[in-house]
Amino acid sequence: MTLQLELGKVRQKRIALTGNHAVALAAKMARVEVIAAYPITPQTPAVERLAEFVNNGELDAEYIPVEGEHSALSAVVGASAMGARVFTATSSQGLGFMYEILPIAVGLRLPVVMGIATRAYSAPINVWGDYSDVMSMRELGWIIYMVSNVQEAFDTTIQAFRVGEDPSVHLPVAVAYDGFWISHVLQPLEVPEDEEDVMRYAPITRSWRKLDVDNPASLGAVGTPEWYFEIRYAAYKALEDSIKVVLEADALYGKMFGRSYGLGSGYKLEDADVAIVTYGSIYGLARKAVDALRAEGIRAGALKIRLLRPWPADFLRRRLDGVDKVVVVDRAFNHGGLVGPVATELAATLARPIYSAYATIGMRATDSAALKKAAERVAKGEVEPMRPFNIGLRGP
Amino acid sequence: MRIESVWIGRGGQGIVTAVYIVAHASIADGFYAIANPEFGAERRGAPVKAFLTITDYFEDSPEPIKNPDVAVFLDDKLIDTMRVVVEAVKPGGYVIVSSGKGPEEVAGIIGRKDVNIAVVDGIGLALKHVGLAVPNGPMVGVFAKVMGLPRLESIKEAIASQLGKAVEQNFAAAVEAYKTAVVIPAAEAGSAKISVEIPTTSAFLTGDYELVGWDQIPEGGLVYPGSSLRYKTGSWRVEKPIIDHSKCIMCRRCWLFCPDDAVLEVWREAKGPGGRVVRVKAIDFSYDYCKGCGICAQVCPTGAIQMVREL
Amino acid sequence: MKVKVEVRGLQLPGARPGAAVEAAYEYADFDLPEQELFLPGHGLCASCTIGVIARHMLKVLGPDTIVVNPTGCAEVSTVTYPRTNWAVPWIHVAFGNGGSVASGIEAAIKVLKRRGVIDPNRKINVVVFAGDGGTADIGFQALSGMLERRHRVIYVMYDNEGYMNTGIQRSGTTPLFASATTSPAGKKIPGNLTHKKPMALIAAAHGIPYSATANPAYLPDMLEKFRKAAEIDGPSFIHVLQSCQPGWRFEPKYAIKVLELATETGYWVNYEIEDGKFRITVTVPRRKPVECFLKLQGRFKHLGKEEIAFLQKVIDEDVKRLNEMAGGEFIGPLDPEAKC
Ligand SMILES: Cc1ncc(C[n+]2csc(CCOP(=O)(O)OP(=O)(O)O)c2C)c(N)n1
Ligand code: SF4
Ligand code: SF4
Ligand code: SF4
Ligand SMILES: [Mg+2]
Repeated sequence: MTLQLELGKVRQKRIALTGNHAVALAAKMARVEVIAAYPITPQTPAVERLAEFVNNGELDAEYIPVEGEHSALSAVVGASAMGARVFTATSSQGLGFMYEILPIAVGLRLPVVMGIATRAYSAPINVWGDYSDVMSMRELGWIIYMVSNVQEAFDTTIQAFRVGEDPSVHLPVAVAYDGFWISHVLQPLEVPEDEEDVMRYAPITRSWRKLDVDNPASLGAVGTPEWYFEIRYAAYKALEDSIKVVLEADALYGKMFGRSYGLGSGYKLEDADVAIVTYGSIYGLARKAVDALRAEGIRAGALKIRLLRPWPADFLRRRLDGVDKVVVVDRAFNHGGLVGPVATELAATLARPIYSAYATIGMRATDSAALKKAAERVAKGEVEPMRPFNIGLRGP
Repeated sequence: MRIESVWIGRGGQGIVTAVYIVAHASIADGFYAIANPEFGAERRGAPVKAFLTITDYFEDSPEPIKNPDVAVFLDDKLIDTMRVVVEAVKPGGYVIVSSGKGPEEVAGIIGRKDVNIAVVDGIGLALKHVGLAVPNGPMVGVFAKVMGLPRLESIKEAIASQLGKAVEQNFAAAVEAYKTAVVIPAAEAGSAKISVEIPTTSAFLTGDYELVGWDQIPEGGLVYPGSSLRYKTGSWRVEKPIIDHSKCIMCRRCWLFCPDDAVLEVWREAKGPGGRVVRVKAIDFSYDYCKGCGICAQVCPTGAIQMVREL
Repeated sequence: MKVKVEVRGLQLPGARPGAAVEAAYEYADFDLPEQELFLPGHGLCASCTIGVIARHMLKVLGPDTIVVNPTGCAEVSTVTYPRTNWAVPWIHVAFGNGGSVASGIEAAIKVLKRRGVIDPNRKINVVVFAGDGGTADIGFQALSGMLERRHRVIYVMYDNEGYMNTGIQRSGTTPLFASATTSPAGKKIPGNLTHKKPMALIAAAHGIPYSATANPAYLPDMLEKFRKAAEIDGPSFIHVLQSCQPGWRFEPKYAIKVLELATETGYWVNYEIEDGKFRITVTVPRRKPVECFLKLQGRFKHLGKEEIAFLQKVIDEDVKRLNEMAGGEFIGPLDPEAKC
């Protein structure tokens, strides 16, 4: 129990930061060793801040100002293979540019941690925050968190190192936070006073090191049809099983720092007839909408998904099985698909028809009134299940 | 009707073209065919296999062939490496081999009395007509002879379409093979059932590595030094280097330029003055890995190394 | 082991050009370790000189070397699960990112030394072993970034003048008129219509401390260049010509011979640029006609007199320019009578 006593002692201070700067501070407090990144709105201030940390001598790391995102991820993959703790960050077009390397970091089993200040994919070019970038990387094997405020962005980035680097995991981790609505909003947050506490929580074990001159091995072999299935399955299974590590890391974080988030969270779901399911910064709007609906006698609830991968199916079933009507407010199109990206998965999880809405596309502004209206339409049977409707789109 | 065949050769011997030609010609004859070559990371000289099924009804999905009616070897040295293919041929089926050896000797190597065996010197005929050691044309000819299809005219059409060049020469090689191949009919009926199947993996082509489950593979598919030593590429060889020690001046050019690390420096006993036996440094070859490229012989300043065809 | 290497055409720095090629045999002593770090049992084609380059590269660089090998023939033929030919740490990530993966590795070594994870006094070489496609085309940007940022990485580009792994398509270093599957010798267009990218000059233009060209047929020269590159505190680039039997279509036994002819004809000039100083390291007193190089290879079989004359002119000009850069006639005049 000495550990617990010690854990209780973590001293924290309240500061105010933007999401980008909070993520940068988290990476700094986790003492990342190699950073390679390329600027793109809205992520840029995060990597600028890290460069400042390095150049001011506050962080002993190598900062590689690469010539593009393909190289950014490639460089941290190389560094991670050496056993270094690494970090990169990007948004939309940058994520698209590094796409080739995303599944490779998984297959090579390297715990790269990446911040994603979410942003819409071009065209038309749009620098604002929707989730089309994040949704495009779901099938590749990364652990993906979606956070809802600056504090959570900070805390989750620190957790990401502990989770990805766990010997049973060794997988890359993305921490997605809304472009602008988190990346550029200034909010209060609590951060540990002493970096050592962060290092006690997430010590650098180097258990993932693959390249070592004293113990040479070859990493990145051709996987013929006789081997690819097995090698890739190991990564697939590690991702599936990582949900335990995600929960443990979150619980330990709660013990040490007093905050934990689980796989997501629910709001007034216990007796709800209709639930608004969403992710990212607009979860707060959904909660307000719930209160407004309840004031009008509609028993509403809200749920936010924090962990997109591995998909928290049991958690979602537990929370939503008892809710009659579930509407997912998706923040990226599922072009040509049946319903929104998260709605598709949630309908399969609950094994019943649900409602699907699109909102904040290209960061079209939304508010709690709009979400309330959407939930009302669902509650009153004005929209059909499994047929997406739009919140805030002009035209027919 | 259904004829299932498996073709075994080396990268560079034109095995893909061979099955495409037979398939193309069979289609021209009004049959259906699926030519399904296996593509791997291996380079010129490495063993490769291809499947070819000819039917008189439509079929659309290629399926691996486990017990073929016909096995075609574009290189007799592959019989031993691919013994499982010989064993898997259905009783009463055919084994067609390109070999410079006599038909009886080849039959001996095959060692089955319940299959029909056809032998032709495919490389010899290819060299004669086309000027290249690419025995695919002749093997197509022998296939047509023993199976009774496709027709020679269709083969010519297929060669023109698949190769687009040296059509007359390749066709002439196919025709001569058609005419001169020696066929040894099966002596026995054989047991009705065979227990061996060609594995659906191609792993057996690349070394004797055990196929293990996903939980036994190092994380990320790491591999460790020394593992390549079990990949014996000596079987790729058509010609092998031999050395005349009396001409060797130990300049080591052969050792420097061998791409396969197959030139060795060894201690050798030699007769010294007065009949005394002395130990001297000498050049030798590691035939496990030597691919028979001939570089060592070519760079040797004294002509001490000769390349000889390995039969 | 002490190896006596018989070197044809090699003249030591400062040697007076002029002696006949046949007379230019010299002996150089080279200390080559016996230890093999590139082990046999690989899937490269018979006669593939990637094997020669990789093996000698590691003999010079030694066991404390980490190899980054982008996608290509070298990679797929040497590390196919569950086997590897490399006895040093080796990594393949993708096709176009050799420069950036190596940048990350080198950066990690630096920081891990500072943090006491790796002995700060230990010298670890990071080498990229990349094909021409992985370097001059898809990996160009990553290479440029790596050079510009001054990572201590030895970048070895083995140039077989095409995308061989995918079946002999043209690349940015495929020579003029060579037939490749995406630049076939057609009835209208005689093969590839672009000129070879001078990668060592392009690399040097980044102001890096060391850039060179090399030819495995001239082993001591190539080995010396690897050695120099390893000693440099900064990025280095070595463009190595590599003969490819199926791509160039020569008889396998001529894999070294064809490389010798590349230099003897002036098609391939071995030079280095060390701290900005340009030097031709393998002199050729009298050049053989380019036809000697061409006629061994099927990829040039379709060329007529006119195209060959044009190619000869291109080489004459290239040689003139390089001689000017070196400040002397280190590559001698064309000897039209020379026997191949
Ligand atoms: C992004 C991407 N595009 C294309 C390919 C297919 N590809 C693999 S290797 C290769 C050519 C390699 O050429 P080079 O670098 O010259 O090496 P070589 O095979 O000639 O040794 C290509 C086109 C790939 N692997 N990745
Ligand atoms: S024939 Fe080729 S592979 Fe064999 S020893 Fe000579 S150089 Fe090496
Ligand atoms: S090249 Fe010829 S002379 Fe030199 S060591 Fe080899 S066999 Fe002997
Ligand atoms: S195709 Fe060319 S480069 Fe590739 S392995 Fe064969 S000889 Fe070497
Ligand atoms: Mg190439």
